[in-house]
Amino acid sequence: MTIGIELKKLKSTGFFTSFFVGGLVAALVPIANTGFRTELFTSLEGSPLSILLNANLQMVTMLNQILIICGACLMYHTEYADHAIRRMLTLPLKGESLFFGKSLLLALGFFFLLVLESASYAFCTMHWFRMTDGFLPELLKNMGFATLLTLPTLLFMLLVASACQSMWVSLGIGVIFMSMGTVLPEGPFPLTLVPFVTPFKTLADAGSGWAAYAAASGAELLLLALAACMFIRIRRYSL
Amino acid sequence: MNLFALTAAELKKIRRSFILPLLFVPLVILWVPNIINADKSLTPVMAGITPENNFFIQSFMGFAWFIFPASIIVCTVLLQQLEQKNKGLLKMLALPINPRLLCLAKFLVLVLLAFIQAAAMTGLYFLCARIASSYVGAGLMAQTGMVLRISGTLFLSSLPMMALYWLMSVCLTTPVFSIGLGLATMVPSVLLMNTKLWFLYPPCYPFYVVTSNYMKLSTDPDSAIDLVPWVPAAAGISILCLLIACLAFGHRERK
Repeated sequence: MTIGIELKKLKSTGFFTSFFVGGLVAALVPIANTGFRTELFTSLEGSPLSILLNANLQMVTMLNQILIICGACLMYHTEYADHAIRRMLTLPLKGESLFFGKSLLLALGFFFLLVLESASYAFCTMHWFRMTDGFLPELLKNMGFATLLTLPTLLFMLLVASACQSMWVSLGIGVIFMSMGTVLPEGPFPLTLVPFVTPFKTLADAGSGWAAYAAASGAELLLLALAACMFIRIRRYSL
Repeated sequence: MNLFALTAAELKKIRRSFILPLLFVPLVILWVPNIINADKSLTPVMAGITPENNFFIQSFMGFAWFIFPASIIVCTVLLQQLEQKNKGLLKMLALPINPRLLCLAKFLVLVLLAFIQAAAMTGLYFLCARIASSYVGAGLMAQTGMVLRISGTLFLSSLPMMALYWLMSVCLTTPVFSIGLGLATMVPSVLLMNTKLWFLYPPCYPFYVVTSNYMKLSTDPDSAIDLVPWVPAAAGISILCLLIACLAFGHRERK
């Protein structure tokens, strides 16, 4: 039921339009990049997907993160604008279901982006490289890894958006964390576990440490969910 | 009220906002790993560049690519949002003030905030280069004149970008859209910078200035940016953006 309500709330905010358009733009990045510099990429060694991910993952991940930040801020902005949350909380609804309903929707939006981007990688491989049997399993593995690494970021951003009544403070925090992501990915292991920094790791980058990243992301996810549950109970709204 | 008085009033409005800390935090995030990784500057990736120039230019590339444009976008949203609450803009427009001048005054505040951040970045560079020098035990302080020249060019080249983002925040009344679109225009700047029509895309100017200086300091000492299609295009784009922004400012409220 909560999901239905959340969907209804988002209907006229432009959330779906922005995810659709943003997903198309993110999917166009690898195509445009490979189209511009075909000779450079086709002369490189390695599997087509690893070449494509190496060249485009940073830009695509940044676009995903921008959409996650905007989506999270938009979701909570509709609650804080005109004291809507006060009315929501008088309904027989749990605060947690409000939060997790939103996170589920945001995660679905993110999956949609990943599907579009995967299609774009597949198109680039078919058009400029040679499609092999190993491509699909490799793509699925990479996208699964990306999902696991991005979910903590998503939950973290939603938690920030739920905490700040002024939308531009949460936007600012999101942008600051994103700037960390552009500076820190080469740092030591604990630093790369910070939300917004982890999604920049690819499966190939992580190498043998992929299990450590996956486990750490899973733990982070649990911790953030727990923190969200606690925070929602403590939070008092002074609207 | 003249432009100067209006700008002073606008500055008063942002006094209690958290904008200055928000401008400084990314700089700290940028400099801390730079100092920790300063020893990497001793073995530059590009041939021909000295370690001190490498340290300087790498830090400024990180700044010009993401942190500077993103901060400008956040500032535009803040400046717009300030007046949306409790119909502030409606009250401002009811005063005997020219709305176009008001729009221009807000843009000047944006320019001032960007200047403060660029100046803080340069100031922090001098401080951090000193710290990094003693940390790695080698001189990492580049020539003061060159540092000031490049950071000055960086700031000037970001003016068209500011005008564009200001136009976006004035025209797109949903702030999330203007910030999302603004951030999204930044991402492909790396791609568009390498095309022949880069001068038509203001968001890539600051990064272009820094990377071309990187080339100048390393492999190609004689290279210079062609000013001819760039400066007229940049001036044209900025004037056009500001003109449209001034005309569209408060359009929804005046209806």
